[in-house]
Amino acid sequence: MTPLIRLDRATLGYGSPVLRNVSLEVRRGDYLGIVGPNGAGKTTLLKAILGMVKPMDGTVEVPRTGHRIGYVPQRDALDTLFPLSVLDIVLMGLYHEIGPVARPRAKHRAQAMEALGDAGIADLADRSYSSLSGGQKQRAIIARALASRPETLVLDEPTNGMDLPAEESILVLISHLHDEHAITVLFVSHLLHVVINNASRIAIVSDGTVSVLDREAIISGDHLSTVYGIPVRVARVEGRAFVIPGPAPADPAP
Amino acid sequence: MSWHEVLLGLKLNQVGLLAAITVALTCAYLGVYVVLKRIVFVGMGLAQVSAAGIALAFLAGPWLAGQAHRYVHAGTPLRHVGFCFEWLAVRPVLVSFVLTLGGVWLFARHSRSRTLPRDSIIGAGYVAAYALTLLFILRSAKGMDDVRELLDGSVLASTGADVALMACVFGGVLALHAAFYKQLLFVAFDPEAAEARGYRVGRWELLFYVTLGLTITVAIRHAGMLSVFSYLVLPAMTGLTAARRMGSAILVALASALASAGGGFVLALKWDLPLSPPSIAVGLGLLLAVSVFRRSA
Repeated sequence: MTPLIRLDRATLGYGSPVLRNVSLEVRRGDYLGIVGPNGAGKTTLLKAILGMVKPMDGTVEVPRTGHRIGYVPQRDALDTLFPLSVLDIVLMGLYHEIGPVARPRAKHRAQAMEALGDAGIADLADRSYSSLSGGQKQRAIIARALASRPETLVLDEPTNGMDLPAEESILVLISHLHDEHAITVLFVSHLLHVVINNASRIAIVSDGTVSVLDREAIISGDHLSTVYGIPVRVARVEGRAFVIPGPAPADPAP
Repeated sequence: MSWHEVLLGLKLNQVGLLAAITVALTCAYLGVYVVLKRIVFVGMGLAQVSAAGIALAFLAGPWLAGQAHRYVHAGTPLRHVGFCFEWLAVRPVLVSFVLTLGGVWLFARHSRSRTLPRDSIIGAGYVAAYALTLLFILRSAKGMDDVRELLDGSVLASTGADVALMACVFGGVLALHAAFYKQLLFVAFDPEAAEARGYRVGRWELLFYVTLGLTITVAIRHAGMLSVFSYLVLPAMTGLTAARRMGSAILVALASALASAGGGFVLALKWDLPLSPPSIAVGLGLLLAVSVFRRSA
């Protein structure tokens, strides 16, 4: 299958390289988790895929025609001072379709409402964005990305700073969009446990490079200890994987 | 002054009132973005840079006029140089706008500096512009008269041609903002997502800052620094306190600006005051009233 997104020996950075020799393929229907310690270069990789950072060397191939990408930035970057309703924000995802001077019409509002429905917050359309909880805000900006009916959804730390129920509900929503709407998902997080149970493949960003591994290889190998620089193991409980820092406990004496 | 005399004064100063209202409305609209983008200090810095430009023009005016006289009488082709000097001598706004563009470049360009906080760069630009303003004014022929004109403006002396110029400049600025409302809002609210969507964020930001700089330059020439800066901040604060939607916030800001300019004008006539302090008092009063009402609601 032809890859949807392809990076070939790409060097990425802002004047000086942050990531070198990055080779990565994302296929249609993938759920790729991008993890690594803070400051490792996850956002740089993501910006290169979004076309916001040009490769210093190598190639980044992302078809721009006929392939819509929905981007979900970190919600902390959005200023709640702006007096905007949830619907106003979702409509921003359609601005490029509305045209440079025109105003949103009924069909755009309907499309935005549909996206809000997909994100599970259709009832919050008229609420002020600033009055929402963290989880609801995240759903609102996911709805904005969904408004243009993207084939690929790129999410930057969407569960950052959330409590457990909100985090779980966002992860369920993203899995639902991936499974039911056949959306390719690129999910960036500095927390491995957030993506390990949902992503089919995981790109580990560390030491200026990116290595892509299957989920099972991550769980069973000792890559994580290398990446994080401390002993890290993965335990399975009721079919789900949990990341545990620290060495494995010694076997109890017989 | 009796109320009857105030009414008479309003009749006699219709052009000045119109100029004050035009400045107030345009600044109030842009002010909503200035407050939302948390760049009030940029507005203040640009206003000071623009004032320095006007002060420079006051200082250079007589010299330019002298040069113009010299070259116009020197015969072709130097006559044309003389006409250029003459043209510049009576248009301080042009000198001011060039300096303000420098301020736009300085303040906007360094907005993503990793080594220095943005406020410090604006602060440095502000004190430099303040010092230059003082220097230019002290050296200018009219001295304290120029200081008063810079601070409080000369709205009452506005002519029909001044109002026509303001209408053209401000109308152009507002038309651009109305046409590209969506883009300017998206880029202001979420520049990263806008960039990912293919917007040239830097260019949209530049458009915003250039229109802001142009507005401040033309507004300060007529309404003075105090009024312009207050119209940039107070009506927007009132609008954002009163309303929960962008459109309503802009409408309330415009209404507040209209009341400040009109009310300030009336009070200035009534008590024979400079125009800025009563306008600011009305603006602050409205802000206070809206804040109290909002808290009690």
